[in-house]
Amino acid sequence: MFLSLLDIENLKVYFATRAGIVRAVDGVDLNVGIGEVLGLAGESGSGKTTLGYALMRVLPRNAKLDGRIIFEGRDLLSFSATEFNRVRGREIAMVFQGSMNSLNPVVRVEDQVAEPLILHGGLSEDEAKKRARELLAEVGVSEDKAKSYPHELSGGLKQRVAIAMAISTRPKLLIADEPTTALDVVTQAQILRLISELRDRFGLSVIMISHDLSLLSEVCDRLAIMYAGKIVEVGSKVEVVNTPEHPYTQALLASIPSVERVGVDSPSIPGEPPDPINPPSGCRFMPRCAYARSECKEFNGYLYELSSTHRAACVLVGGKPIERVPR
Amino acid sequence: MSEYLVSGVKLTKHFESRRSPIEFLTGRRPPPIRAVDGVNIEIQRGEILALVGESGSGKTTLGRLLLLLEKPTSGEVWFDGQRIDNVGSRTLRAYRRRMQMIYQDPYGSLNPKLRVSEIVSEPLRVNGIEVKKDRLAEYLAVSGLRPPEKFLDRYPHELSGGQRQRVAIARAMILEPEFVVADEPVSMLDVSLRSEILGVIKRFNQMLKTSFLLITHDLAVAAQVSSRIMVMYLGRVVEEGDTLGVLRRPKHPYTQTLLSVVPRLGGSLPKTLPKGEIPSAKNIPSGCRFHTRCAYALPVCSTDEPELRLVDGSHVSCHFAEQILSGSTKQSTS
Repeated sequence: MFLSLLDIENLKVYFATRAGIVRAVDGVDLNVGIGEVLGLAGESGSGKTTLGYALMRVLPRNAKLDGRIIFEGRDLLSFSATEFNRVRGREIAMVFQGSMNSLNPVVRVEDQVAEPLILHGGLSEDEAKKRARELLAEVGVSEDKAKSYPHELSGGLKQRVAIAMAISTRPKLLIADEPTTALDVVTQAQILRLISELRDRFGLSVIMISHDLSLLSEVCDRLAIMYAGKIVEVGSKVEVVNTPEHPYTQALLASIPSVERVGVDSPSIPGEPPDPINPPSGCRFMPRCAYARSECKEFNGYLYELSSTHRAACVLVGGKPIERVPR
Repeated sequence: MSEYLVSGVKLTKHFESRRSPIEFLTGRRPPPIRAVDGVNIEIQRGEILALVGESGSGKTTLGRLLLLLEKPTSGEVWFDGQRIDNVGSRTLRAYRRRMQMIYQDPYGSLNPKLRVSEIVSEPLRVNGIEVKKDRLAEYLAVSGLRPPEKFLDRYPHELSGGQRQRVAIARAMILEPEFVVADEPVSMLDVSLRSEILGVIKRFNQMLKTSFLLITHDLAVAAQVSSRIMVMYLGRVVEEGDTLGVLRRPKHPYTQTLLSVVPRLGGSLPKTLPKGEIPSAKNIPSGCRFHTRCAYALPVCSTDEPELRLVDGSHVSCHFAEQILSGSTKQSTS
């Protein structure tokens, strides 16, 4: 029933810096099904964007990649740079964070959408323009707006243009990195609706990256929670939101301000995320965890199975059940 | 003495827009951008009033008008019983230190060349007040930078976004202002940090009895700390009432829309989203400004502009607030 499009196995992305090795992504296992929207949530610095970059292979020179990225049965990490050029942007596309602000200010948006179709799609100029207008219409940019320059468009429309460019090659996987930050709540909902519609219409698989778990929970089928370079919990939306098992997921969910809680402060997560150069041994959340105990120091980060879809990497979950007493 | 610390009376701000080439040739004047269009606002001593709306609703301009960072086109600004929009700049300066602003972007609002101690003490130095290290440390600690000694000598680039915003808040509060405009203070921060930073604002509100105008597009932010909510749309106030009343029983269709799109854990996207985007403030729709996007709009809405009136404890500007509230009016399905 679950046809996998992408299987990430023990993926590691390390950066060699003067201060030491930054373990931005440190042994991630994750899969994405065909036509599925997977939400990847975590705080700033958790490695979620780096994971997206690794899938697109747009990493700086000091990055070291290890593990396997199986996409439709092919191990993408074994591809040479030239071979990967045929995958990047064509089969896997990404809407980068802030890409709506990276549009060329002196080119009409329809011409910008047409440009890659001429360069990479081999279309003639007229065909490309026609196709660009179709693509823009698909994402809700009307024909008169398509002739605009970026500064004449609102943030929401610019984001639609960025999405049109990403899907212009009909990719199988779309990575959307914080596609709605800096947008208003109304526009945010409209963009999320658009992404779900694209999935429904084209069977597109989507990895949606955000720090906003409530937003992800509205559009994603499954949620993966990332902390300090590792996935700490993954499950269906209902499992993660209603029965979170990892203490970090629980804390993250509790910290979100809600319109239902009038006049109440949401409890914050104490402390700061760990230093990615010297992460604590064992469970990386242990220094901030209310349930920390001595076994946590030895914990290997294994994701224990809670159901066929739900997994969490916490000693309290695996093995024998342990009574939970907050520290 | 009035019970209000700050008030704006029929505040209006029109910005002139640049002429297009055609307007230049024909000598026609372009329509002004009506950012704020006749708003009455009162902020009580020690309260946190949330000003809510989309970008383009005029909420930031209204905040800047109250601080007189922007000169009103017409209308009055009152502070502590004095009208201050028509006083000279020397008189105004005495008021300046009694009001402050907290900005949205903690990456752009701190001088990268100054240490935290210099940033937070600058308002004191500018006003000729002796800088005491204890005071700096206290304000950093209340802002949640603990232990403060660890942060005094740091530069902004060594701090996370949340830590920077705490520094910006400490800087705004160190003069013990009576009125602070906080313009989207948490919208650039991780969701998991927002509640904590809002908690800092609440702490200062209680400690110094400072009044806050909290500008936000996110009703969840308003829910946590405000006592009253004012909703703006295209330069006008469409609804105003106490926080619980506005959130539990929103009367204006626009408020209902804003509430319906707030992401909820485990929720789903609302079935009906408002049509299109907020119109340009250069070209404001006739009648009710929201009628072009309103699901309940009837012919009268495009001709008569509704006045703010009291409905079920809130002030609402909608012709059909009662009917919508009682459910006797249906949304058009188109």
